[in-house]
Amino acid sequence: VNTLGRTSDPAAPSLALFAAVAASGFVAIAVGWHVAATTRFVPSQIAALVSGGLAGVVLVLVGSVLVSVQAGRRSAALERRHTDDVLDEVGALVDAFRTLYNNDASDTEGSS
Amino acid sequence: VSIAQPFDPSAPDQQPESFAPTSETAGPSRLAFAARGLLRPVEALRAVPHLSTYAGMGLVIAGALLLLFTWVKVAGLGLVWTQIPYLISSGCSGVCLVAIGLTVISVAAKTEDARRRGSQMRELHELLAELRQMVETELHRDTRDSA
Repeated sequence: VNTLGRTSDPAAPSLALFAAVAASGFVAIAVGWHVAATTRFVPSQIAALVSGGLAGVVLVLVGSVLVSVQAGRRSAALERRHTDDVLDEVGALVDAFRTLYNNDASDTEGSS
Repeated sequence: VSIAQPFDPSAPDQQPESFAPTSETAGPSRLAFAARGLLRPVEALRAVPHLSTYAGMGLVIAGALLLLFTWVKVAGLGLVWTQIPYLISSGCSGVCLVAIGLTVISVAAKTEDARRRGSQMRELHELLAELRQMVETELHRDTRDSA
């Protein structure tokens, strides 16, 4: 539990990191735009387009996909926890039925 | 109220008035009060159904509008060196906004599906617990009768 009173999420640091990767893509695009806008030399602009623009797009795509994957894993972990609870309950239920069945069988043998 | 407890607006002991700073706990209480003030609009926003999906759709639309703006500006210019800055700034940003919007929609859908499945599993867990309790009650009755 963190100091803000919210339940701590183990996936939060990685989600923040991946979001930062995506945000850095916008920074790369801004730098590429700045370089391209301050020159009239097209070959330099193309270089800025590739290194700033395309690299920025790739960073944003990578960050977005990683966020999506991590969110899916977090949801899967929550579902596994719920499934474990149900399996524990089913195990306890089977034990209770087994005990009840054994008692009934011993009662039947005793009466016969 | 400890600042480590999760915020429950319905709890009478967690109303904002109870977070007034005192001489003994001025620092943490003030921090909690500020955090509570910041979290209140977030809680209100989270109460809106399908907000993340709508936000993702908004990002996709904003990205598409940026791409349209890029096309309009680039098509009106005859010099390549004036076109490239638009291509980088609004073109690449538009593509990124569309990608982020689609990601937000995907994550929102996955989260909603997981929440619904979790609700079903909790309901199943409660039913099984009720059934186990009935069996154990029957077991105790048998044990008492045989004794």
